[in-house]
Order: sequence, then C-alpha cells, then structure tokens
Amino acid sequence: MNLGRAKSILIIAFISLNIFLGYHLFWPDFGRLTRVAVTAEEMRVTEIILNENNYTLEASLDRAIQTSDFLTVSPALDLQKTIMDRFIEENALITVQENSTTYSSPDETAVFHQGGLIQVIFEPGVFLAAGSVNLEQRELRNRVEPFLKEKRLMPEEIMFDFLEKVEPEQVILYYYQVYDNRPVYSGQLEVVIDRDHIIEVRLYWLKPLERSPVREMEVMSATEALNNLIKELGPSIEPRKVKKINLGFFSGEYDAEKWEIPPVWRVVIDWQQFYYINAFTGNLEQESIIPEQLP
Amino acid sequence: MIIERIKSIVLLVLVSLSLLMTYQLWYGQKPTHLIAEEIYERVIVEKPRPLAEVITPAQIVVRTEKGLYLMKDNDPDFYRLWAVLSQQLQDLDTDAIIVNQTGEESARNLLTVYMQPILPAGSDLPWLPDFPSLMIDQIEMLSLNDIAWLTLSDSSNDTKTKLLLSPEQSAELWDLIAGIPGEARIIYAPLTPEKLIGLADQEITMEESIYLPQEPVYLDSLIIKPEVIDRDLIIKTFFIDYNLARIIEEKDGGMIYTDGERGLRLTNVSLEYSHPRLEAGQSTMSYPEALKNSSSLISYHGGWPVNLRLEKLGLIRRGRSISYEAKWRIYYEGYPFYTNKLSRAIFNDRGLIHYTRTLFFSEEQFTEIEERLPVADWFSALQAALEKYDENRPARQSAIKLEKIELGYVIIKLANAYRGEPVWFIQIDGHKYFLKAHNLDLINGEDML
Repeated sequence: MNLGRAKSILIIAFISLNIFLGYHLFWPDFGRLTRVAVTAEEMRVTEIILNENNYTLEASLDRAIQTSDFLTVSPALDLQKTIMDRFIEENALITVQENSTTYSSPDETAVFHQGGLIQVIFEPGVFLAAGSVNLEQRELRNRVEPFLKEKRLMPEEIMFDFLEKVEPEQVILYYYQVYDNRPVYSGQLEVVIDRDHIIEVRLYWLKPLERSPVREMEVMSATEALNNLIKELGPSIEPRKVKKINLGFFSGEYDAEKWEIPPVWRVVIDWQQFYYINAFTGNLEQESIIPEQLP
Repeated sequence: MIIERIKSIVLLVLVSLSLLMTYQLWYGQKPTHLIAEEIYERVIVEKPRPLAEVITPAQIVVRTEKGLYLMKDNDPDFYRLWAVLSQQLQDLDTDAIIVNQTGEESARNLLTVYMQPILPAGSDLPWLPDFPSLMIDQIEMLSLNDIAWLTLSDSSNDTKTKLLLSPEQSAELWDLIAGIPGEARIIYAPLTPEKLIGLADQEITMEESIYLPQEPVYLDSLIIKPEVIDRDLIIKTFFIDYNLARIIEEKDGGMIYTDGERGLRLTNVSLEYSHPRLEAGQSTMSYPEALKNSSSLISYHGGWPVNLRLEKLGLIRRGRSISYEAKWRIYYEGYPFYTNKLSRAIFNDRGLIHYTRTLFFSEEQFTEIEERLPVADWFSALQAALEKYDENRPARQSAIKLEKIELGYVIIKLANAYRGEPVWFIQIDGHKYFLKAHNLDLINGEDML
C-alpha cells in the first residue's frame, strides 16, 4: 500500500470520526445521551472538598446528564383500607383518637396516624426462625417478605434498601417505594426483627398520580449536590464516608389532598445518615418523617 | 505531489480537530441549558408608593363649634385634612419655628392628629426636610387671635416643636375644617375617668386618649367578597424561577407553593409566605428605610388596596435576631376591620422572612344589605365587656386598665360567603372582646376570619 492511499483512508476515517464527535458535541438531544454532567475536573474538586471536610467518597457517581420532573402524589388511602379491612375481617377492636385510629386484635395492633404513617405492632411477635437476627440478608428477606405479603403489608413497586443492626439482638430491614423505575424515598417500609421474631412494621406509602413531562428539566449533577451538602453540614469531627448517592423523589409529609414531590439526590453517609438534596434547587430537603411521627 | 501535500494538510487538520473535540467531550462542555443566558420572566408589579403616601394618621380629632369629630382612614374628610397637613409639613422651613406665644394657654385647639406609626421628619425625608431629626407622634393645630401654629410632639425626646403657619396655610386648614359637612358627622367626646365611675368595683384607668360617640351610630353588616388578584403574578413575585416550585393542594382548597426553602400558601382570602432561613439576621436599616421597604413589599406582593393602612412598624427581637415588623389594617368609612389574618410583613437586612396579606377587600365590593340599625351605646358595650372580663379577672387586682374601645367590623365566615359584622372592640388588660354592635353578643375569636 502506498503512502497516498494510506492518507486517503486516514482522511476518510478522520472525517467519519469528526462527524461522530461533532454530532455528539453540537446536537443537543442526541449529545445529551453521552455528554457528561460531571467532568473529571468537577469530580476532582468535589473529592478535594469532601476530604477537606473529613469525608471520603466511596460511592460511584452517575456522570451522565439526567433530567427529571415533579411527581404528583396523594396519600395511599387504598393501601390503608386494605390493611384496615384485614383487621375488620379479624374482628379487631377499633379505637378512634384525636390524631390516630387503632385497630387491635389479640396478636397485633395497627395504629393509623393522621399524617399517613401505619404502625403495626406484633405482640409477642411473629416467629421467623431461630437466630433470625444472625441470618444472611437474603435469607432473612426470604422469610420476612412472604409474611408481609400475607399480612397485606408489602405494597407493589417496592425495593429493598438496606439492613441495619440497631442492637445486638435487633435488626431493621428498610425498603423504599419505586415509581417509573426511580426511587420514591418518601414511601418507606421498616420491619423490626427482635431475636427470632418480627415485632413491628412501619409503613408510610404514597399513591403516585402523575408526572409532569412539561416541567421536565435537567437536574444538577451529583457533585454539585455533594458540594451543597458539605456546605450545609460543614466539617465533620469524625471521618465519614459517602456510601451511596442516587437520584429519586422525596419530600416531607403533608396532610394534603395531593402534592408534587421534587427529584432529589439521596446521599447516604456511613449507612447512618440520609440526606436529600433537591436536584433542581440544591436545597437540603427534610429528613425522613418516620422517626418524628412515632409516639 | 501537490495532491499528496494537500492530503497531508487535510489529514493534519482532521487529526487536530478530532483531538480538540475529544478534549471537549472528555472534559465536559457545559450543557446548553447552563450556558444559555438565564432569562427570567419580566414581572410587572405596582409601583411602590412614595414615602409621603405610606403613612397616614391613626386618627384626627377636629374641634368645631358644633362639637368634636373623630376621623379615621377611608373617610374623605380625613384624607383631605391629612393631604393638606402633610403638604404643609413638607413645605415648612426652620423660619417657621416659634418659641412661645403670649397667652398661649387660651389658644383654641382646632385639631389633633395622632400618628401611629410615628411620622419621621428631618433631612432626606419629605416632611420638614430642613429640620433636625424628629419622630412625630402627635400634631396639634392651635389658633390665637389671627395666628395659627402647629405643635409637633416627639415623645422619644420629650420635645415639642412649634411652627407658625402662614396666613395662607392657616386659611387653607380653617376652610377645610369649616367645610366639613356637620350634618353627616357624629359628635364625639373624650372619655374621662369621671364617666367610668361606678362601672366596676375597682378603678378603671386609661393610658391613651379615647374618643366615643355621643349620638346614635348607624352601621350595616357588609357583604365581603374575595379580592380578585392575578395569582400567577403573585407566585412569580415570590419565586424567581416558578418552575422550581412544587405545588401542594390542601384539603381545604388552599394551595402551597414551595421550593424547599420558601413557602407560599394561597387561599381565597389570604396569602402567607415564609422564608424561615432568613430569620437569623439583623436589621441595620433606619426607621424611614424600613417604612419604604414595607411599602415596596405591599406593592410587589399583591399591591395596595385603597383602604389599607399601615398600622404599626417596629423592631422585634427573637434570640439574637432583629427584624422589622409591619402591620396593615383595612378600614371602611373610618371603621377598622378586625381579623385574625392581618396583613403583616417581617423583614430584615437579608430579606422578607414572613408575609401575610388579606385578599378580601376592595371598596366597590362592599354592599350594604340591611336597613341601617343603631348600634348599642358605648356605656352598655363597656358594661358587657366588663362582665365578661370579670369572669376571668385575677382575684386581687388594684385597677382595671381600659386600653381600647372603638367601633369596627369583624369578618365572619358564613357557609359560602363572608360578612362584615359591626362590633364594639374593647380591650381590657390585654383581653380582647368583640361584641356585636347591635345586641352586644360576644363573638368567638375562632369564628372570625
């Protein structure tokens, strides 16, 4: 092959490459699929900010550009009704209080709080298996989830989140709601296992109504969200690790007819702290409502 | 040979170009959305009022030969008198200052203007711009022989400033007073301690001047309609990028807009906004600056209704934070509206922290629906209030402090509407009583809007 022919082939190859690159750079809709929201430089800066404040990034970041809209939700009244019906079928005693209604049957009590939280307490507890708290996570879930389904306490579109060991003999399984393949962190299910028994289930669920495609916008990058969070939290005394950062939906609880919830970046630190950064505004959203709601 | 050379150059250019574009892609070209110029929608709102129009007196007492007239906001005579007096205060210079007038004690007091909030005067201000700083809380017009003067009281310094009016200025005020249609006005009289003897087993004291009608007063119930406002415009005045605000539809029909930091609640009859993060701030602005600021807030966020009056402006302290609080009240033909949803703004150097504005008034929306009926006299109203007060009174109390007694309206929510109910408002030792003006039935605060 002579040099001239080689040059011609290379010219054709580079023209093709340039067309490809130009297409990605200058064609917005197509380019967005491959363009990055987080550049190497931005990543480096964020890591420096984290380190300076005694944080370490251990999570992998989604570097692609992402868009989102608001998700409109209402209280999941149908789920509440399903659970109430089960108690009624079991001839439960109903007690109406100012901010809650309690359904009591011999082995379990369900408290329906005004804000939407459902708390089911099993007494003396539902036996799972000997040494349940020491079971492997998958094994434990395999025993817990069929029970939840049987008790109509496991809604559709649910995703396992993590397992937390709170005491030597107690673990909590955490789940969150999913809609359109995206987490809805406001919807939560917690299962408390004490030694060999399930002793409590806490459920706060939402009914997704619609998304608003007309309000679809590009969200801020994960690094921007992290920067905002560190600015808000300030330096940490103890070394802390950012374990996970994901895009989902989250908002505080409202005693309302229906409401929109914004996209958020959920930042998990040491699997102990969960922060929700509004992916449009960068503001820190409220913490999970479940702890404050409990009596 | 030439072709080969051209090929080499083209190849070199293509390689360079591909390297450049690869660099751009790798190190991230800013997304179009972000590099595009941020275009905010232009929002056109009402122009803020000039400072000279922000303050009106709490009340004007005019002494005529027929008797004493009491005037408050949303009364044509009140507006005319204040417009002239305010203009004269803007025109007067230091040459008008007088020290004492011979025989001053026998001068005739023609009118007394009670300023609340305080009227600031002095350099850089519309009123008395040639004077040193004054905080005027009372203005009196006095006349002796052929001359008339104004006495300005500044209780913050415990000083009185006397300003001689020119014959033209004096005549202008005289003409206005003489032109007040006496037949349409009710005669008032100051409440004196003697008139209160026997009403309670303890002494009744008063801190401020109270004027009460001496003739029957006829008041109607009023139909109140929600004010028609441009809701989209209101939302845009609070949220720079409205697209970032999410909507919460409340069970009672109210709508909340929030971006996670700020919240705006809109109902048929009020709007409430809060931005709590700004609360931890200071207020270094002067009182006149705060006055201007308060006027701008009303203009930007809903506009000035004709009968809204600035009622109070002062500093409030919460922990280490200091903010200004402004309160406005609606008046109808000289009578105030009492409501649980008072128009109010709390702001500091960082911005607007809290804002509420009533949305249920507009002059032409008031409709008289009943034959006019005379209201109960003040003595019976005070007796009724004292009876209610007796039920909750501390056991051994030396004296009863009567803080307020005046006629006005409260807004009551009916099934599908709102009604302005004429009331006697009586405040005793901090306890507030709203008594229906016609039958003196007590109105529960929870029934009021």
